[in-house]
Amino acid sequence: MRVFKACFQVMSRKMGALAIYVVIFMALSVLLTDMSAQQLSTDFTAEKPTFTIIDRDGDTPITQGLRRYLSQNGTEVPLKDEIQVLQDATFYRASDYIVIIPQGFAASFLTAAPLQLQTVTTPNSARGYYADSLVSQYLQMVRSSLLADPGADPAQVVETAISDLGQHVQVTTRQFGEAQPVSESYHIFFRMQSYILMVMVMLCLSTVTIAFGRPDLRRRNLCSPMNAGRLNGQLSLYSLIISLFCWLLLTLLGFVVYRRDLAVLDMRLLGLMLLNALVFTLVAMAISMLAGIFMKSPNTQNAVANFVSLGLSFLGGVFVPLEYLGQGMLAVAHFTPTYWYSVALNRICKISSFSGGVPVEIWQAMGVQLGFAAALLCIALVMAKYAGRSERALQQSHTELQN
Amino acid sequence: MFCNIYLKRIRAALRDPTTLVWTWVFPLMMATLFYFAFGSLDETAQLQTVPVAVVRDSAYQQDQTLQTALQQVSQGDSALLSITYVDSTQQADTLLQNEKVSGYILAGDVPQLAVSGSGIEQTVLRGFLDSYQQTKNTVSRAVAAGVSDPQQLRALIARQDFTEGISLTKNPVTEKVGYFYALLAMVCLYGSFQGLTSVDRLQANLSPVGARQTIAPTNRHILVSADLLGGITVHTACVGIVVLYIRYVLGVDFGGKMPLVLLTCLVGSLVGVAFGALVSVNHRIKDGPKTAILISVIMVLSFLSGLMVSGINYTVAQKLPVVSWLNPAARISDAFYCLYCYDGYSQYFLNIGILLAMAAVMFAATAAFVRRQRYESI
Repeated sequence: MRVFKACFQVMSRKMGALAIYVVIFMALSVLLTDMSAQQLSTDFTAEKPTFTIIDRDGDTPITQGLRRYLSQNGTEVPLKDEIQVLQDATFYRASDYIVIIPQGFAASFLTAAPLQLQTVTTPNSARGYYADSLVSQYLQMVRSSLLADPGADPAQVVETAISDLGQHVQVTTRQFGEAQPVSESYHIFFRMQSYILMVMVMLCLSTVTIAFGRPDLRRRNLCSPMNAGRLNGQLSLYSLIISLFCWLLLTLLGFVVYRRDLAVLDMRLLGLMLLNALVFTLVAMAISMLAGIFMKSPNTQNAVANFVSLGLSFLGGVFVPLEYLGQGMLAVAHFTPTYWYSVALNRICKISSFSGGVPVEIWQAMGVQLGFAAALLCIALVMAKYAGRSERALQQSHTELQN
Repeated sequence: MFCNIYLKRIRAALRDPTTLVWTWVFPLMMATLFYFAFGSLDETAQLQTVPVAVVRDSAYQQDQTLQTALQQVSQGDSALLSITYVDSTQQADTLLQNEKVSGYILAGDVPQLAVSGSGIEQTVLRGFLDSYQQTKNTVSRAVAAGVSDPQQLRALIARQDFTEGISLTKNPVTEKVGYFYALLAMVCLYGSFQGLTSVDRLQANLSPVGARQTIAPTNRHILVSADLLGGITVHTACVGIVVLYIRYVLGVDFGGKMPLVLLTCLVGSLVGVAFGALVSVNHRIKDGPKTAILISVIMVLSFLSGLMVSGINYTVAQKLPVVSWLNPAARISDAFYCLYCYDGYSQYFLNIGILLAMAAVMFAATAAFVRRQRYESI
């Protein structure tokens, strides 16, 4: 086990770089999850669009009422009445619906042609549409009440309208099955994990294996009595242990950060999710070993690691959920292991009952991942054996005949 | 001498395959990937027709008003609902469980809605039924109060357009461009590899080339500035090519102000090179960890400028404005964003000013570290 031991020696010398990668990417996984998670519940709760009211007409009972009514059904995002602030908020989806009340609105409200409120949403936004329908409904009700009884106190009319509008039809929630769903943040944490696992395993492994690719070391190893099979076998063993360690670290991180979500999670679901991640760890390891052949220096190492991991993640629905990918993209995505990881994960998170056993699609998706791992590993080992012996690998690309 | 070093530095940079992979191939491939991955991104939050089931029981058969209302919103190109009629609640449940519909409607005195979860589609469905019921109540109250003139009743339910949608920007609001801008910010900061190489090759204790350069009978200032300028030139050219590729091959909009876009690339590269130079001056850290630091820091900065999750830069700018102002990646992508979104240039030039100041501070710090160094032994 000389090679195996040597790996750990090299590793201890490179602790600095390794620690940086591990810490950075673990932090990134939590950050990424935090930023993309939204709370989800199985009971019906109405969606609350964010809205902004820019009041250029001064506080009137009607606009005060509008603000109160919208606040019951959405979340107000107060913004300054400056064009750039409003542009930013629309562009970055900070406010789903900006409504500008023009000057003189209240005065014109009961005339035949009231001034129109200006609204800003992103094109065809569903939440914007919903907020807009709330506003129309409110104004409609207030206006028709005031028209019907011109002597009424506007404040009173608004009050009645808001309480009338507050009555909703009954919504029943149908539940199919008994298991608790996986919390959104824990789901996303696992979704991001395929990226984090890949990049972490790749960087940590290659930091060490690069040393074995150095031409002089290669020459020395080639003339040693140890055959290539045993050398690569021990390197693979080392890779396996480091990969599992990365998986373990991320799993523990998930346990610590999302302990509250875990309390309500069905243990069988958790087991399946961890198993899925474990299977993907093997894929990540195989990818790393294959990619390692092309890594010659810290610079190429990072380029290859980033490109492969980001590329596969974007294709496989890690950052952008699979539902949002176009048809053509999905067709291509089938050829990436990340896609199958995401598919298995999504399916696991949708299990609401174990009465019919674990759905077969999950085993299929994991099987495909294992297939990827095996295929990539074989290619990596074969390439390591032959590519490593080529003259280029020993930094001699010219032979006497070519000169 | 200046030209000599400058040109040699450019040639050396062009012959360095690893840096080329990083700064040319990697961004071009990422941009292409973004292009394909985000093709239908803007449609995700858009209102699609909501699939809903309606149970045709006896209550529904008798309820003419509900039938008309449902018909009205499910016809035409801009239909709100697409309705599947079923004969029993069991059938409706099956559809709901298989996620064929977002919910189903049961007629009655007050119609009911059944759903299996929450979401914007379910909320829109409830909103539709609420508004239906409220209008119905208004009319029946009016009838009870003795209003019988059909004209007046129609006026009660007539839909008035109280709102009109306007757009605040000349260019369409789209989430897509943000990703490309953040990518460009990252590429600009990758200029740090050029800075790293430059300082590496100027410091006698860092590389043999550095030792050779140090004993050359040339003014140190000329040496340093020519070398760094070479790095900046190569990197700006590279960012420029990426921009042109994104603009003209992938068709991503920059708001039509190409000269200023290229200026942003130049200033961004300057910051990148300065950053690399600053990290590189520390001779106690070896090459590997230096690269690791650069990559990791750039990754975090890019993440905070919206490379992986769009809109993060806005959240950071709102909650931690200092972090946002000090993050060069956020400044670079914000500069692109200003060109796309704003009509005025004040915010754009503020960004450029901050970036230039950052570059100046980092170059000054680097200079303070590398000047007047003497080596006892190498």
